[in-house]
Amino acid sequence: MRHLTLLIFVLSFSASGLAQVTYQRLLQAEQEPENWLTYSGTYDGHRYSRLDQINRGNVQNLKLKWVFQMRTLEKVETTPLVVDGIMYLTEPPSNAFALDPGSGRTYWSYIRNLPEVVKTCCGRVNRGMAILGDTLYLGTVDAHLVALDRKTGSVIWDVAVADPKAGYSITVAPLAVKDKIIVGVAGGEFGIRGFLDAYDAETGKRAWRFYTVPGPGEPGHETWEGDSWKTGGAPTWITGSFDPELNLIYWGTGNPAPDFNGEVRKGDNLYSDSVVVLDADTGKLRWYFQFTPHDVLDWDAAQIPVLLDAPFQGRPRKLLLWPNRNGFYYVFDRETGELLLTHQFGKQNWTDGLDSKGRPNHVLPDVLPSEEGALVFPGIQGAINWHSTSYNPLTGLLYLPVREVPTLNFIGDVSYSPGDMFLGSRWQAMPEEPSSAAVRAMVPQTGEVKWEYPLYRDTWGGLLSTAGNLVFSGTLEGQVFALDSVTGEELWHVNTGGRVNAAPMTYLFEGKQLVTLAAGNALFTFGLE
Amino acid sequence: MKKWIAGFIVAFAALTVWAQQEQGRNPYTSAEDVAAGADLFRMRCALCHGADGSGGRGPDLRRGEFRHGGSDAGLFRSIRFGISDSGMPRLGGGMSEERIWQVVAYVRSLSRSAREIDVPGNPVQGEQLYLGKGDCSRCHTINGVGGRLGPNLSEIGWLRSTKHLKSSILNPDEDIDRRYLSVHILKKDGQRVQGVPLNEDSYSIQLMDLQENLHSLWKRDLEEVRQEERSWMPSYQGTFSESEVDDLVSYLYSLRGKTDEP
Repeated sequence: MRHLTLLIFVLSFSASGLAQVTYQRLLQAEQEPENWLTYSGTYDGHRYSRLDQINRGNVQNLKLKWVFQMRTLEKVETTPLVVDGIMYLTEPPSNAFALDPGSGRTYWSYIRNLPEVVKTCCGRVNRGMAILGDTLYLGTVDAHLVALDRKTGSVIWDVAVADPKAGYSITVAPLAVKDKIIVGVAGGEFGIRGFLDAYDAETGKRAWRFYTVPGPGEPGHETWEGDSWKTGGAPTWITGSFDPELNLIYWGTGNPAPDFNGEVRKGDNLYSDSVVVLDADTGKLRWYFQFTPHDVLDWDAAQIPVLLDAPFQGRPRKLLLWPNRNGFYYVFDRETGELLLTHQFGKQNWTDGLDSKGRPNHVLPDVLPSEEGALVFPGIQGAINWHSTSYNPLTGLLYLPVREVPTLNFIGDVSYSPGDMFLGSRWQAMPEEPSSAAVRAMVPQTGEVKWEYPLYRDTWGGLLSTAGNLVFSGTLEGQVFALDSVTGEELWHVNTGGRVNAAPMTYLFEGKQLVTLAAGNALFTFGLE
Repeated sequence: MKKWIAGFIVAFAALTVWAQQEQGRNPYTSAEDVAAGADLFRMRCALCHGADGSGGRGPDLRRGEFRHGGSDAGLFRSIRFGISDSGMPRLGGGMSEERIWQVVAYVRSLSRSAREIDVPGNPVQGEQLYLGKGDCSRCHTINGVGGRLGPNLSEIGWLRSTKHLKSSILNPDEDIDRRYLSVHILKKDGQRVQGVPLNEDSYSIQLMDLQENLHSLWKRDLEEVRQEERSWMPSYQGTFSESEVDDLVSYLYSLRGKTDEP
């Protein structure tokens, strides 16, 4: 038996020494907390680590280990992967590196030559890669999906997913599921027609495509007036989650286009601002839920789907948790799509409430974009945006960054021209209006807030929680901090001097726990003395 | 009146230059511009592309095909900003736009006067030699298949001239891409690591060993770090006949990478 175990151990390593990242390993990623194998750490979107070397008792001794400076002035939104002692990292716009987590020094780099025409609404950014086998998968702002050799960074294949001249780009970290790479597109501000794609990991051949704006003859097409579906937006720019037992992929979709002028796209505009639930093998729609029908406030459902198996009202359920940009929190049975709970979690003035099906009773007329400007809570950047939440099984709490910041929104004429911004007017910030932001700990089954850690300003940092009973994040001003996951008490902070636009992750290197987070134009790594 | 006309002509010429630049066309294409471009080319480009543009470590420019944009604007961009990960540096820093356009004019003149570039050899047989007798895929990758110790050859036909390919096969040490020198390390614990260099600073060194494992080592743990001006690639002089070398070169020259369009 011992010989068999040894044989399996030897066979599980590739010829060149590093163990392959098999689908099996991705399924059990939680059981190898020394690594960080996928964007959210695990398929269920928890962004939680079992590591506890760094904990409430010693986190105040956390020190800087190294900094990786990037050659960019773009926002850094990346979450690195760590696999068997090597870190794989993206740098905006569409570059990749392999680093030694002990020194921060690079093994290799992949620097992408971009065409002159690249269209992004909000920066030429990138949020990370997927890994499967010995291959890394990178989406690029010129809307390609590139397979890179994990040992050299050399290109194995490079496929064009969509036309960058028409406003498509890729900023999302792809998701490896079985033998496929799932990747979405950005471009909701350019009147693209959104979709989610799956590619054969080995060959780069497209396996399926799900259009998030249904075409003629497809269910949901009737929710678009005239030809408006052709430029309907609904991009797929934040990594989804996967339930291997149900074989379902959960993925959020972005705003309908044009953003602020709904007159030219009357109807509910399915499947914008929705969660779409797709069969992982075929890309066929199993169920969906639209959070904001006929949105005119840019409230992308670009959140990480959190999958949780837990009792709900006394009965074990497979739950899907979703704090949405529109200020409401939703809980579903993720197998059937049944809506179990809605709960307002952030300040809002746009509706008098949701009905039993989760649809707004009334959208209050005063908040709709107008020529004079209409003030709305949450503002167009939402009560939560794309920042990662974190679920900690030890406390049973969902941690989320909440923003209660209004904007003033205007309506205007709009005409579509391929590759040009397609907004239907504009918005402006309202710094004189009272606003707030916080990290909150919430009971997932009820929405009850257990504690709150107030932030000075609106946040763009995601969260990580650990078995050390810690919650890590960072602020717009560049402070990186650790909170007690039970009480919310701040236990450690340090000034990195650069705005945090990313979520932290953690791993072991040579047996010691490290925490890594992007801030400003650099990546910071912290560890104990 | 004459001054007025002269002023008008100057303004018109400036406007023409501006208009052509706006359209991405080269506004500097006179014989004088080509000659000035040739002078610059010999100073700044000949080391890699050869004094006559027939290539070396860099591609043969006479063939008139360009991987990263063959329009005037594309060539201007490649010269000004360089091409990442190809060995082509940016040359535009100290050069005015006019001078860059003159180099573009000279490069264009090369392809206009070129005959079809004659590549002897049979690429199909070359591929057989690459996979068989040469066992080249042990260290080189083409489109994701092969070893990692030598350069990736998927696009080598864009990057090198035929004469440089030939010389690399017969005499690999003559002009080594510095990323593929041989590194020999002796650790203080007596262990040896040999491979190709990846990165280095005052305190650490990163390399890939001959079994393709990645190493990051602290120099405080090392007894000796020796980097030799030698390639791990063996010479194929005597292994291949002259016609077999031609076959292999014609195969390598045919490798131009691929991108699948939507």
